[in-house]
Amino acid sequence: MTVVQDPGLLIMISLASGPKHGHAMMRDVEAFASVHLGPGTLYGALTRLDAEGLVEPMAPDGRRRPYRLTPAGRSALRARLQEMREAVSIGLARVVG
Amino acid sequence: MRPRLARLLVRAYPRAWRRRYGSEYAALLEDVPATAAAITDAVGAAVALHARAASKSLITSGGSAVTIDFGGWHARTFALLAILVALPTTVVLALSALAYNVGIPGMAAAIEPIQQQLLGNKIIGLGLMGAPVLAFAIAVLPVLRFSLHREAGELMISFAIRGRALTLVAVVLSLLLVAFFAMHSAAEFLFGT
Repeated sequence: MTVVQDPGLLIMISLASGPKHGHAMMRDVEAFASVHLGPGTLYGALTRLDAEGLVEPMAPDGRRRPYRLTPAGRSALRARLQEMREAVSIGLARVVG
Repeated sequence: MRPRLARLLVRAYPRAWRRRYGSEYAALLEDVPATAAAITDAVGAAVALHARAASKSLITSGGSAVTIDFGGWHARTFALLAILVALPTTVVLALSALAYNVGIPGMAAAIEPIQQQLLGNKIIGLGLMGAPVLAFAIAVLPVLRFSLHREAGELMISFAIRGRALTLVAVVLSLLLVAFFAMHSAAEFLFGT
């Protein structure tokens, strides 16, 4: 079981290491978060991120189209992860302390 | 997943979405095994996207949006149709003007029997008088967009006209005809002429 279940966040974390097409994102998310994103869930989240300007499509590779994080997407991801780190720090301090 | 099943699943998605993502999404579906979970997930996402597309016409700040848009119709074809509808009235009035106002010799005698026959028939008479109004509606509808929605709690009404040159011709023609009939009726009422 993983803490992070948000498909949009998982996709952005996956794309933080470089551009990927849909199937590569699914495999990567499964590898680092043990979360299996269904194809509909993946593209539903990808559509939203694309519309929000957080990811952008690249030139197609055959029928597959890779996506990458936009600068705005990278900033949003960094902010979100920092919030999570602060929440984890506070939680750990309370549990340990 | 077999390409046929992938294509079938892609067809479940909204048309606008398919245009943008359909090809790459079909490629992804072909890459994943055709499990019940994958198919259910794809169908569920299609339903969610349809719901999202439908909710775009519902304003999130509350209240529903009403949009009347005839923009998908072919404005030029409708303008031509409007001109055709207004043509018989235009011809009758133009001939009358040439005969009675300009006074072309012999013309009044030539057209009078035809005019009497046409205007003697109530249906034809009403048709000739109603044609400009119908022509106006036919010309204008395809270029109108009327929208009523809520934005930040305020009721917003927007109205747009996407004009075409031919539409303008049809509209001016039909309005001139309507104006003529209106003035003619007013003159008859006021002066009994």
